[in-house]
Parts: sequence; structure tokens; C-alpha cells
Amino acid sequence: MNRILVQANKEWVEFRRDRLSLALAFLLPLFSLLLFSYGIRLESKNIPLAVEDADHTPVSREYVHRLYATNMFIPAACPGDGSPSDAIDRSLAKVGVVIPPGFAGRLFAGQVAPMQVLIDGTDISDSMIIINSIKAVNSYFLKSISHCARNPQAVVPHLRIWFNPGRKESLFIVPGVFGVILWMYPALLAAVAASREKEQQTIIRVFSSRLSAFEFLFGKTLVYVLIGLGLALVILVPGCLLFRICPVGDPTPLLVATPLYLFTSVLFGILVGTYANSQTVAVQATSTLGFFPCLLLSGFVYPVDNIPFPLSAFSLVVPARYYINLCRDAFERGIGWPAVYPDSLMLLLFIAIMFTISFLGICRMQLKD
Amino acid sequence: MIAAVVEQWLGPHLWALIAKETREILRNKHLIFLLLVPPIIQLLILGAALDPQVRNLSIGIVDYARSHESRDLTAILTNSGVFPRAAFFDDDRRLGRELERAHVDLGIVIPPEFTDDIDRRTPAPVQVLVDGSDAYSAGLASGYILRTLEHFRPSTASMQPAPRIDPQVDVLYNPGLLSSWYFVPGVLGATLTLTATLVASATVLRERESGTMEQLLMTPAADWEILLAKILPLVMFLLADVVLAVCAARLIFGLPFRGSFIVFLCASALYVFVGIGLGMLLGTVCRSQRQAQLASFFINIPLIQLSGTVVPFDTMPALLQTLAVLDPLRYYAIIARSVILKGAGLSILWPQLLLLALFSALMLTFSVTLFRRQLV
Repeated sequence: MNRILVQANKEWVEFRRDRLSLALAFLLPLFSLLLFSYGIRLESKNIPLAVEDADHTPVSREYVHRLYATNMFIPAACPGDGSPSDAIDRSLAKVGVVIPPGFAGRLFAGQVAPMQVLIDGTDISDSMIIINSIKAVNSYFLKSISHCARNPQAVVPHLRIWFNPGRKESLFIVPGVFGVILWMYPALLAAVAASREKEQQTIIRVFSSRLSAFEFLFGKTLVYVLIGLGLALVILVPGCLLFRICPVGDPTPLLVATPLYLFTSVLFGILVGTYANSQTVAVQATSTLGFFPCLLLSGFVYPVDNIPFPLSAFSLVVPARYYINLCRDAFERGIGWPAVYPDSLMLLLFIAIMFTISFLGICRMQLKD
Repeated sequence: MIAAVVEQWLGPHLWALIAKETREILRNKHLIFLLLVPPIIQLLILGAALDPQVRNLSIGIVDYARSHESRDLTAILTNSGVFPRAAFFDDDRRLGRELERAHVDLGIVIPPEFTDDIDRRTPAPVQVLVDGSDAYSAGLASGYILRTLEHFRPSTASMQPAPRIDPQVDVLYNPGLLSSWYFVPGVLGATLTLTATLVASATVLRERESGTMEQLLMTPAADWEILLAKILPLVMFLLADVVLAVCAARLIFGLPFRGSFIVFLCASALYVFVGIGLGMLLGTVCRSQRQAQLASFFINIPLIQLSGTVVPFDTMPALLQTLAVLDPLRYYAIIARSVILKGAGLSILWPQLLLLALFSALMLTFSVTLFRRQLV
């Protein structure tokens, strides 16, 4: 135990001395927190819309007004009498609506009135929301012009949105950002620390000392988990204050899982660091193996269910996925342990696996050298 | 033969230096690996894994009415293709629990009075519960389900059909709404940034770390020749990367190429120059490769975040959208998407190309001056 503490202390002194790592450990995460949490939003507003109204009736004009009244669309800056498809070609508009002649007449005759919607398929991120809001405008418009008495609805839906009634997007994005940051930076720092020993050949001294592989690993891990906890504090507190979110319900899952997650992250970094030959390779490998999967396969921005088969299997071994889920529960749903105990168990499993692999890596080196 | 012509055109110094740099890159297994493998893998993973659509929503249904009409209603919802996974529960407490654990994304509860209400022609209330934790999907799902329920007419009741506005949706350039077609052109730019900065900073630092820069300076070659010879082979390799990536995307995702390849290649070359300029800047400012790589995080994360290649651009706050004016990757992403998917040409894209040229000129001049000042 004493030897573990000494090893941890040595690691801490080394970390404190390295100014660049120190700056990196606290500035870069804060910077990423702000950039991701402010920058990532999915729900579009102010989509430029070009309209060609060939009907020229008060009804069609009213309809166009309704389109703009949704706050979803703004009139596209079309030069002169350009057609909607031309405006889309020039990237001036993202949506075009063509109202054919006879639109109003067909509506009043109780027939189906066709209209055309053109969507710029080069940016498909908001195509669903465009289709959705145009359909919503259509049913609202019909309700407002037809006399409701003639056409009663058969079913009246009563909608309740749970957990996030105002549909604030920050409640979804910010806990995800916590997961991404607490994965990336502790892992990066630990990887650099673990590979430095090897690059500077000081690992031989560790081998020749009485320090066992377990003590060596555990001492290193302990320090970086503590640094990670400091980082978590630096990230979570400003994140909660800036974006006005706070843990709802039972906070113990978050309190227990955050150290567990940091263990996973630090162990991942140490794992990469023990197998990498230089610090450069270690940084490169952590960013390729850790950063990209955590950003893309964890459900941070787009749902995990969307990932197609071979990659979706890979997403099961991305620990960030479980922590992000747990974080969202802590900040949004507030169900607590019954909903998130599988996630914590998964994190424990990852810790066990990664510790074993890095342990084997250290043992192997000991034999070879 | 060709080599002789090129040599005559470039002058003997430059040619010899370029040959030396190319050989050095080819000999460096690590660099070749960096140039070829991560960009292609990143491109393929991003193209396949990112999907901004809302698909695969699951719906939980509690049907207390258990009548012909209520089954009509559930059939419409489950057969729509929007909710490929539907689960039926016996009571609403169970549904609530499943919704809390995020096993279902939304639920509807059909009350026992439903059939009577339909028969009496009074509007029948139906409860819709939506998991709002993913605000975006919740918005789309609730909009869809509200519309479906409002338009629902049971087959037994002879109600006259309502007049409809029938929107015929045409998605231009990407009719199947394939997410890979959307992501690949933009992500190509993102991977180019990552690779170009890394490789360029590594080249500059390698010469410095091994201390061979002085030897190069003693040769009769001018220092602009030395630098140009460092940059040109990298540009060639990175452009080969671009071509490789477009071919791979074509094979795997069926990505069309609708515009002029020359315009695309020119834009890519300009953008590669920007990336290399950034990398050289990092290489000059930082003292070791590790520092350069860590510092590249500071540059690459905002470049990619602000460019709209991975997350949507239009939804960013106004301040960040304004800042994106300074992001060269933003322009490259616009050009790549427009050329590859829309087939747009110079007449539309000249402002972006001009800006890219400006950026690359600025970056190169700046980093080269800094680099030269350090040498003397």
C-alpha cells in the first residue's frame, strides 16, 4: 500500500512539473465544453424557403403566410423571379414550395389539393423537420379554413412530453458533452504519462525495483483518476451553471458512476500507453481509437439505434455510451438506480477488462526486457 | 523522359529536393500509415455511422378498449414504418416504467370509452406520452403521431373524408436521403485537416529534431526551394488521398460525382495548402511532436465544429455562425458538397474558391516567414 502511494506521489510530481499537460488538463476541456454545448443543436430554425405561388389567390397567399408563421422558415433571398429549384441550385434556399394553379379551388371543392415541396438533399440533417413542419402547417391551415363542425375529428390526442416538457435541447446535449470530455482528456493525459516512461527508458528502473506490476499500474491510475475528478468538478459545475441544468432525483448514481467512468477512461489511456512505443503514437492512438468512437458511436449527437449492424456491435464496447446514458438519466429523467444499474455494471466490467489487459502488457514487457 | 522535362522546368535544385523529400516520405512507414489509413477509416466510419434521421423509434401501446376501432388505430401506427418496434402492454403503469427506462420512445393509451365515443361520434380522447429526453426526436415523433391521430377515421364509422393538402416531396440531389452522401463530402474535408496538420508538423519537426536543417541550408538551393520541396510532395500525397477517398466512397456508398473533377481537385489542393500551412505553423511554434499534436486539438476541434461537417451548421448560435466566417473548412465543405452532389460549377462557387485561395496564401506566407525567421 505504501509503495502504491509513493508511486502515486511520484506521478503527481511529474504531472505538476509538466506545464503543457497542466494547461491541457484544464483549459482544453473547458474550451471543448463551451464549444460543444453551445454549438451543437439539432432543431433548425430560420430555414430559407423559396415559394412559387402559381395560384395567386387570397387562400394561397394566406397559406404562404402560415408557412412563414411557423418560425421555421424565412423567405429566401431570391434574385428577381427565380424558380425555387433555381434558388436551391444556387444554395440560396434549402426548401422550395410550388403551389399549382387551382389550389384554392380544389380545397373548397373538398378535393385533394396537390402541392410540391423541393428539399435540398445535400444537407439532409433537417429534411425530416422540414417535411414535418410543412405537414403540420397543412393540417393547421385546413382546420382554420374548413368549418370544424362539418368535419369533427374522430380522435383527440392528448400529448404529454415527459422529463423535458419544454423540449430544451441543452438538457440532451450537455450531459453528452460531459461524457465525451471526461472520456477524452483523462485518457489522453494517462496515455502520455504511461508512454513517457517507456520513451525515456525509465521503465527499466521500475522493473528493476521491487515495485510489482500491479502497484505500478495502480499508483499511476490513482493519480490520474484524482486529476480526472478535479477535471470533472471543473467541467460539471460551470456546465450546470451556464446551461441551467441540475441533477434531478437521486444524485448517487452520478456520484458513483463518475469515478467509475474516470477509472475506465484512465485505464484506457494507460492501456494504450503501455502498448505504444512513443508519446506521439500514444496521443495519436488515443485520439483515433478513443476520441472518434466516443464522439460518433456513443449516441452523443445522433441516436445509437441509427448505427448500422457491424458498427452497432462495435458501439457496445464504447464505455462513453453507458456513461452518457447514465448522465442523461441523472440530469433529465431522474429515475435513479433502477434505470441505470446496468450502465454502472458495464463500467465495472470495462474497468476489470482494461486493468487485466494493461497488467498483462506490463508483465510481458518485464519478461522481454 | 518525363522526369527530364519536369527537371528542366523546375530547375535542378528543386527537382533534387523534391525527389529527396518524396523518398523520405516513402521510407517513413509511420508517415505513410498516417497518410493512408486514418483518413479512409474515419471517412468510412463517419459515412456509415452518422445518421441524422430519426429512425427506429419504438412505440408502446396500451389498448384498454380492445375493439375493432382501437385495433384500426394501432394498426395504422404500427404499419406506418415510422415505428418499426411496437410493444403492447397490459396497463399504463407498465408503459410508464418502460418509458422511464427508455425502452420505448413513446406510448399511447387508448381508454376503455374509446369505442363508445367513436360510435357516438364524439371526439375520443387518446393519451400520448412522449419521452422528451431527446428533445429533437421527441419533437419529430410527437408531430408525426399527432397528425396521424387527427387524420384517423375508423373504417366502421362512415365519416366523409376531409379535404387534404397533399405535399409531394422531392428531395433534390439525394432522393434516398442517404446520410452517407451527406456526410462523406464534408467529412473528407475534416479528415484532410487532421491529416495535413499532423503530417506537415511532423515533417518540419523531424528535420529540426534530427538537426539536418542546417545541412540543407548549406546547399546551393534557395530557402524557398527547400520549403517548396517540403510542401509539394505532401500536397501530392494528400491529393492522392482525396482521390482514393472519393473512389472508396463511390464503391461503398455509391456516392455520385456530378460536378467537374478539376474544380474539385483545385479546391482540394487549395485546402490542402491551408492544412499544411497550419501544420507548419504548429511545427514551428511547438518544440516536440507531442506538443504539436496536443496543440492541434486546439485548432482542429473548433475548425471541425464550426464547419458543419459533422454536426449541422444552421442550428448553431448566431455568434458561432459568424465566427465560422474564419473557418476555411466551412468553405471547403460547401465546395465539396456542391460539386459532388449538385454538380455546381465555377459560376456558383467562385466566392468560396477565392476565399480558400486567400486563406491558403495567408497561411503559407505566415508560416513560411515564421519558419525562415527561426532559421536565421
